[in-house]
Amino acid sequence: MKDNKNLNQNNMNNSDARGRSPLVITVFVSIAVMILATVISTLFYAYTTSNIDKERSITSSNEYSQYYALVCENNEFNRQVYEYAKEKGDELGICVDMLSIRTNHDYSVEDLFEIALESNVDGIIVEARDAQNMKNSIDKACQRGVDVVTLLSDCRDSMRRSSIQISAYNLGKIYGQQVVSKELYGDEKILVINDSSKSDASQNLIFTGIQDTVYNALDKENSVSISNYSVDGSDAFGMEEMIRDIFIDEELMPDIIICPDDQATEVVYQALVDYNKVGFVRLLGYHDSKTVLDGIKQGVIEATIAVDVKQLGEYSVEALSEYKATGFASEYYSIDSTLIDIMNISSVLASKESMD
Amino acid sequence: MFRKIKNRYNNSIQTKLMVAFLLTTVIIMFMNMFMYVNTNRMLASLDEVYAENINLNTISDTLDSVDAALTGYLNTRSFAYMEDYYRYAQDYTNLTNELYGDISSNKLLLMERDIKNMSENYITLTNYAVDGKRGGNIEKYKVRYEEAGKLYTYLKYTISELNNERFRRNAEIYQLQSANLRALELMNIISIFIIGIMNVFMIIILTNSITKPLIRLADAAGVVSEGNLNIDMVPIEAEDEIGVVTKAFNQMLENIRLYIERLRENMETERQHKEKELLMESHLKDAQLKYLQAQINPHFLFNTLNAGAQLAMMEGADRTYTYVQRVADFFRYNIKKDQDEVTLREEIALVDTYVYILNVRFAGDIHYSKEIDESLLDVKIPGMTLQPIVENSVNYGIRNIDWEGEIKLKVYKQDDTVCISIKDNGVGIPEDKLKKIISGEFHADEGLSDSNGVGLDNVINRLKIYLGEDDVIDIISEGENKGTETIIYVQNSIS
Repeated sequence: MKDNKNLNQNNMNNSDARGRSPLVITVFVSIAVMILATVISTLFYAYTTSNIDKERSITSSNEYSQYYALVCENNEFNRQVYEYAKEKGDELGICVDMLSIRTNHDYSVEDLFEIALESNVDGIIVEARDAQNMKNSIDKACQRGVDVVTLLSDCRDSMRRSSIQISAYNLGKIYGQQVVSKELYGDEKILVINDSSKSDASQNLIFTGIQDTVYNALDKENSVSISNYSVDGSDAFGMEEMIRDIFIDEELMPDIIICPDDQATEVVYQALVDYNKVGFVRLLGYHDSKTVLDGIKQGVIEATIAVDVKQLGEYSVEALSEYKATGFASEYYSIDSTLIDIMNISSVLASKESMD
Repeated sequence: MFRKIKNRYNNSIQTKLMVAFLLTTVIIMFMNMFMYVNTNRMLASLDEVYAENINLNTISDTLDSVDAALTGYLNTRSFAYMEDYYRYAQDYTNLTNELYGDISSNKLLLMERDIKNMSENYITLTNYAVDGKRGGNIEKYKVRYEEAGKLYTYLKYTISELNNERFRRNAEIYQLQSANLRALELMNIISIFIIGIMNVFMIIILTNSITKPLIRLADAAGVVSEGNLNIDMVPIEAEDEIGVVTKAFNQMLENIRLYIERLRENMETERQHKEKELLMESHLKDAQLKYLQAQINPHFLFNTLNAGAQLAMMEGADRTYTYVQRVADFFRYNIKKDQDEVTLREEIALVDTYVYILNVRFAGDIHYSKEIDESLLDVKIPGMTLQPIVENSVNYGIRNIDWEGEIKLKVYKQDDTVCISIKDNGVGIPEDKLKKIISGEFHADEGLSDSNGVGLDNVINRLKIYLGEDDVIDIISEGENKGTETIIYVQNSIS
């Protein structure tokens, strides 16, 4: 009987233990789930706020010893120059900024130069015009200890420390050689587009280079005419209208068009397509933008001369930093140029893609 | 002791309920507080998004004030304008001093730096202009004013552009923050929903843990109250108040079962004891009978008695012949093998023989009379029933009395019951002795040489067993010397 009683007691205790453990587990699971929900909510909050904080915080990743301003128009060619100048600057611990990129206001190069000067930059790389007000600005900057380097075009007689240029005459010679590389009948009309808003001598040198090369290659009895056609590059849409006028007036219609300007090249390229003059008019362009290279690939543009923008960007920063360090820099830095035509377009495109 | 109390307290229903409700309330409260704080912080940071734009607007407005005060002073040379100029110039300097001043890779910070430097140059130029005006140097202040005007335009544009850039960026942050706020709201709703469900679940589980044992106990008590004790022990699920009550209930159930078991065992023991006694008695009688049978060869006895009877008849001794013949009849009846069930007629004949023998022996001292309903003579009763009663009346009733002894045998019917009454006028039986005889506890002295060996208790027990009832006999004695009447009641045995 006593054993039976013990057995019952054991049964009771066992059932007690059996009955309690699911209850305890359930309660603990419930509490754990509630705490988990709170923790997940907390983590989510922390994650979102940290994301926002990260987004909000503006950090300066690089520490620079100097600050150079690139003062030029905001176009694709200059943006490429800026990219290479910036790369070189980062390499040397110099901050390079292109002022025209960050503003929507239509500042002139002179205004941008003034802003750079009043911002107390350490050096200015300027796409200078050979004009008196530019000379004054450069002189003022240099007197205030802000060294100036000119890019592509020069400002003669100014206090600029160095000038990075393409030899304009050589450029004209390359265009001339390309013109005579194909058989001429002796009565072709060659039109050289120039930008009237640029008052430096480089355009004249290009024209002279073309003239010398073409005429030297032909008989003296030829009647090939080489003429200038001026467009205003400072007018936003004026350039396009003026170029399209060439195709409207049959008398003006040339056999060969030479554009030593990247924007003008793209406009002429489009006009050739629109007026169905592909194959009738030879176009020699400037710069290796994607549009120009596409034009060569499609046979609309015969050839283009690509300036080495990497050298332009790098040399401008190097010249300034060298002058800052030593007080002396080369007067001129000469930039290489390359002719791109249907023969080498594939390799150029391939190398561009690999760089991208 | 303290630990026990603490344990008890810890396991009480009150504690369970308190834990359940406090815990859920605390978690919900904590979650709500947490969400409230988070949402507030996020809303506060939403307000801060455009703080930078507000600051830039202030700088721009102050710049305008500086320019207006400068122009006003240069135009009028007013002291008030000059005061305004210096105040605004100071404010402007203070504001622009807060701007980022180092060379940075970040465009916005670089713009801040440019604004800061241009502002310094601007204030320098305006100071020169004011000084020129105060010194009366017209050429100087005009040039400075023109330069300052140019710088003012650059500054206004640059601040505006930075402001626009900041606004564009802050609008993105605002959108991001709004989206995050909505996501946080959704997350909070989901969390509250989950916590709510878990709370309800936990409360259900906890209340179930309290009510379930109570319901089980109530069900068990209901079954027990209907008289069914064969139920399983109610399991104890917790050491709370219900656990204590359940334990007590189980203990009570166990004790009731034990009590009933003991009672059953006692009854069984008593029954076995009685059976054993009866068996013993029966065996004893059998033994005595066998003893007698062993001592007397009945055939020899009957033959002898018959020879004696024939001799008496031949000698003409009729009375002797009758006497011997009756004695032979008496012994024959006594040793009949199948005497378990006999008719009333046979029993009365035996009584007649017995009384005749006694009267011969004791010279006719017993006055024996009968009053018999003849229709009842075939009623079956156990053998050797009436003779022992008559023998008792003779031995204990009328043997030693001073008056004339009488025995009256009466057979009559009362309703459906056949009554057989044997009444004497002897010394009677005391009441206590009477009770013992009726209950079967009294045992006569069986050593009497004059007895045929069958006691009254034996007769009573056999009658009870044969008739299947307890009330089969009544012995009535009204007191000392007032005689005794023994009445046998026979029901349902009329053949």
